[in-house]
Amino acid sequence: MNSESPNLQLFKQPASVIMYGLTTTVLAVIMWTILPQEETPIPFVLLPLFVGFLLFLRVWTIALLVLLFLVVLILNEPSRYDQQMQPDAILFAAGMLVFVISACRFYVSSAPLVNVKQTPLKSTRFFSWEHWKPSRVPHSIQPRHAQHFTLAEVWTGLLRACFTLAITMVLLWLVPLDLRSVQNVRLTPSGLRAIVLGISLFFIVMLTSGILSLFAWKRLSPSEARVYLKSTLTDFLHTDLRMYIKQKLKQRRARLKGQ
Amino acid sequence: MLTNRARWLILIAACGTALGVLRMQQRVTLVSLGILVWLFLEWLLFRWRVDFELPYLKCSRTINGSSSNTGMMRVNRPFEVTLVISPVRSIRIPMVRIEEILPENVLAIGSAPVGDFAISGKTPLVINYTAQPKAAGDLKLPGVSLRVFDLQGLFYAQRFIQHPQTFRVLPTFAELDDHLPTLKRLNSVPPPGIHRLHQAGMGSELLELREYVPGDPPKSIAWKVSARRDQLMTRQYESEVPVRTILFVDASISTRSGDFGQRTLDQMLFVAASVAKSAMSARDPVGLIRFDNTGPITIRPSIGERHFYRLLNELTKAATVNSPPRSRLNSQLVELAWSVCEERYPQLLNKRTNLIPFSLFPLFPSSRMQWHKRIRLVNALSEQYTQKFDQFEKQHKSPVNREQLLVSSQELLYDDLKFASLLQRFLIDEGFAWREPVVERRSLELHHWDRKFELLTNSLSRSVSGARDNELYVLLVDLIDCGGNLGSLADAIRLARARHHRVCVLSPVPEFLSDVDLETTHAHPLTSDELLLRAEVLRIRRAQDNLKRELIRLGASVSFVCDRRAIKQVLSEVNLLRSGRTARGNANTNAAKISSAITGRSR
Repeated sequence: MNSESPNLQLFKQPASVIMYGLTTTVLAVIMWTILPQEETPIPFVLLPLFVGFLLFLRVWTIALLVLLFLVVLILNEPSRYDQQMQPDAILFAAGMLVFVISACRFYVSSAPLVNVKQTPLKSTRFFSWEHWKPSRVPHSIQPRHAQHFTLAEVWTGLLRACFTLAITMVLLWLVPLDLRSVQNVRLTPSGLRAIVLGISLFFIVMLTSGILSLFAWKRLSPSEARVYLKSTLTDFLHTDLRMYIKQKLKQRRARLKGQ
Repeated sequence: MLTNRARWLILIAACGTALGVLRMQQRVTLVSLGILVWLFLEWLLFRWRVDFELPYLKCSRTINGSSSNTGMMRVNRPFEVTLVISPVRSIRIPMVRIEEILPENVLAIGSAPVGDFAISGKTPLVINYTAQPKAAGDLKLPGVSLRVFDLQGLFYAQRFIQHPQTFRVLPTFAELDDHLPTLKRLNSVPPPGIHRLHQAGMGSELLELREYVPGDPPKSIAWKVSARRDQLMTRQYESEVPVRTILFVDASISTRSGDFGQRTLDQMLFVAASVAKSAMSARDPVGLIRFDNTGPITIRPSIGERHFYRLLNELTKAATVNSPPRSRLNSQLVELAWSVCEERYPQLLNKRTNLIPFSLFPLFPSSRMQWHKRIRLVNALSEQYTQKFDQFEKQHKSPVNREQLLVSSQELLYDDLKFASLLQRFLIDEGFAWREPVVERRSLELHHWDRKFELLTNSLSRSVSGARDNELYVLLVDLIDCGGNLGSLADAIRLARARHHRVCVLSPVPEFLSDVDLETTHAHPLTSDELLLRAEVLRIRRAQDNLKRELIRLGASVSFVCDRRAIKQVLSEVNLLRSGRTARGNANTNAAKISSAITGRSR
């Protein structure tokens, strides 16, 4: 229970949250400075900037920081034509994932979550307030309690990162690089990989979503089922119903005009 | 549902993966694809929790220790609520915001009924809060809103657990210290509720002695005095009658506009309940005539605790039962109904269960979105009201034509007036006050005075014609905007006065207007809103002056406030009636004249 207004809660960070953020930052800095020693894809000059982002700016976006990292990586990392995974790259990716997961968790307490009801193209406002009518509280999350930031959460984050990375590597390993097919379709090897990877990802997401929907479908409440049935029926009869209703309305208007 | 954070992360990670694969950059590919896979796994977990774990949450609510679905409450009297959300089986939801949805008629005292929780296992979650109703009427606590988040703030879902409880909120009343004197000043004290009138009657106290008139009962002859004066004298006794109070309560549209607790109707109900309580504590009978645009409802004067609660119940109905005036469909109305429906019935607005018929039109995306919104809203609301029809069918055992129901639900897509009426009905049923955009101000300004005066005149005349002794008529009516032109009501008041009854008119103005001080000068220039407010106050004061002049000329007492001062004014009128001090003279002839005038006009 909290009697304060959400605006006040937004700027109130418990000490444990700050400590958690600091630990995450230090871990991230160590990973970026120690692991990729050979090529050093991220200039050291940028590191203080990231730390500043993490510690001092309250309203910011994880997505912006990820974008920044990726841009720097794309610009600095050399191209390799081998399909073999380099251990330093795997470790770097693991560290990056741990950082993203931790940062997301850290900043969920301070950022108001906006319930986006628009299309993705229109959602240019990152974390803007959206007030509900009439005078409902905006969709914000209060700072979490101290006991939620436990060591178990850090371990869970690490575990998730490792699991995610394993799936990623399997996915990349599954994507073929057959030179004959490349010659047949006149594509570059990387283009073929991108297409196959995209199709695989799309297929996996659709399949999972379909399976989940199938199970969820059986758990509809009677009201939802009625709405579905009624909307299906009206979908079939929509043209006829529209014609009938418009005719009825026209007659009513004529009758009113006559009166 | 994805949050913006998730949307942007997906976009960036997808672009990064594509670039990484195309440019053969291992780190970029791994990191970007890793983020995508992680988001996918989180989404999977979140959806599992929302679809398969959240439905196991059940809600129970106790109000002042009772878990009954119906009950009584009193305006401004706090009540304690304990809300318990308990999982039926062991579940785990890391972050959920639970909020009790309160209607506008309820004010939470102290902490708001909202809390952030982590659900783990079967441990129930408890929210305690105190609230109080702001105005009389029906109070419906619909249920609990659940907003579920993941720990990273990537996904969001909203669900609603329905647990409706409906209470009847009775108007409050003031306890006044106006008890009758306990000192015995007269020989015989009449029983409670009976008052001595200084008029000839059949009481027990002597009023006067007069000469004998043939036809006087022999037992009333004062023999000793007759012997002393040497002519027959007759004893005349006072009349002992009860003082009846009839309350006329105006529940028309103009009294209902505004926030709960600040409407003129709320002020009127407070005064009516207080006057009734005070009069009935002296065992004076109190009756009620409430009227709105549908017609008058009469409760005959009576006494007793049971009758008092019957009056309170009827006053509560005055605040509840009424159809809103039809308003035109506007985007504000649709948006408000949409947000309320999304908050309270999110499952029914789900895209998955609402099939949208294919159509090329409307072409533009914004219009198309509005059209889709309307279709979903129609489906959800028609389902809501079908449930009500089902209940009606069960209660009254009369079948509802379902084919017609389907056609009429589809009619809502094209008939704007019908759709607007449904939205209004829905918002009022969900406990929203009668103000913009639920009720258009325009329809309030076009108030039908003739109809109101006709109803009031008929009710008052009927009461006067059925009255036995001196009665008090308390008119709690919104008359400010009639501009002092009372029409046929003036004749009805004159008739009541001519029959020795007393008439008291209470016509309150909204509180925010009565608080404006026009005398003080401001250092800063007034804003346009302040200027408009002042102009409105000036207009109302001028109208009040005209009305007051007219009513005083008719012999009625007037008050433009509805607080303790107004109650005391009414009670002083009651006291005047109790002592029998009323105007005398050629009242009967006046009454006959006015009576014939009213009859002639109504013909």
